[in-house]
Amino acid sequence: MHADAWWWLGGYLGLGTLVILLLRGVVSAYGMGWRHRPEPPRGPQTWRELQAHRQWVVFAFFVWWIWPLAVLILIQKIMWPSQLDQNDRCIAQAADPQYAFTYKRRTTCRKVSRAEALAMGQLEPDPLGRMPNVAFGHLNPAWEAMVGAMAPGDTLRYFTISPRRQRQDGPQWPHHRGALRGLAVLRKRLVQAELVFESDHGA
Amino acid sequence: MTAQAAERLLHKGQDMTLCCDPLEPYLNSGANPLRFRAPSTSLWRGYVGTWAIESQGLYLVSLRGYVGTMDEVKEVGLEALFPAYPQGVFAHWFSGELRCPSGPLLHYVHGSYASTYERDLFIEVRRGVVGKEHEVVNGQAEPKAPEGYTLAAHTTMGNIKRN
Repeated sequence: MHADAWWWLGGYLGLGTLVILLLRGVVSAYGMGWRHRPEPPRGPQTWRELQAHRQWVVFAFFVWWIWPLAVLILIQKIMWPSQLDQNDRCIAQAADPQYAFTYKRRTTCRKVSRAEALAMGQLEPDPLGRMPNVAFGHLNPAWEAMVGAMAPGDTLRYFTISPRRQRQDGPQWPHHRGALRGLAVLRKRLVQAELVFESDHGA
Repeated sequence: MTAQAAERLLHKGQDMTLCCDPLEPYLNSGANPLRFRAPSTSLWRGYVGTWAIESQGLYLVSLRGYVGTMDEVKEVGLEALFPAYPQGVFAHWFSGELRCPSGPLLHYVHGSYASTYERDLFIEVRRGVVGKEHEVVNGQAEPKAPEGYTLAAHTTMGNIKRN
């Protein structure tokens, strides 16, 4: 069984036990049990019984509906996981470390050589000629730092991300990221550094 | 929500309002050592940049940014981000559309750059190189409508130490 499933099931069972113990404690402490209440004067026998046991009826409602609902949510989470859940699972299980990226909604991710990466960093020339003609332009120091810190066995990955509104959009101002292109250094299964060298807000 | 202070764009001899953040891709690229902080609720991004279109290139020509802690906010300029380019920085990292609203206010929205004005000038930019531009007329404002980019209110945060 999936580790998350055990966690959820244990949590719900534990919470349920706590609720039962708490309610039993409250009933005992304040004498709220049905045995202490006088019977209602009128009404059919079955209704009087129901009223006498109304606390348990309410409790049973929660037991019968809330818990199955929780189990249904759990099943739904396992059978039809969300994109983020799938990504988390991929990170945990996949032999391919590409799933470890910060930007989990990437649409492309492939291993590239340093020469290929440098070719991606060729830019349009600065019309005023102020910017030196180096790969990645003003991002060159970050590129140099990134590849300079690479150790034997590290790999370079090229990734692209479709345009979208990111989760961290605040109410104050839209933080729309366009289509992103970037490079990352991976060591074993961990991303050591990322450089997003192009962001197309018109995409 | 609070309407946000806009950037500025110097284009064809005009000082225009720019409702777009072309510096954001650079700040989010992984190359940026600075962390700007908001001096007020109308400037959550923590800076105001002045941009210019020269020789069909988009350049960041000046910057007023805010760094520091909640107790003391320090004002910094373009040299803090690009010390070797005091004359302006070619914005090769940006592709997208610049939006420059102008004219009287049509509809005020106290959030983001969401207010609408009589006209919007859209300028296409591809890797810092400026392409086509076109103007959209959004409507006709009432006679007493305020002219130009408008911010209704904001709350200041922290003590700003100016250089």
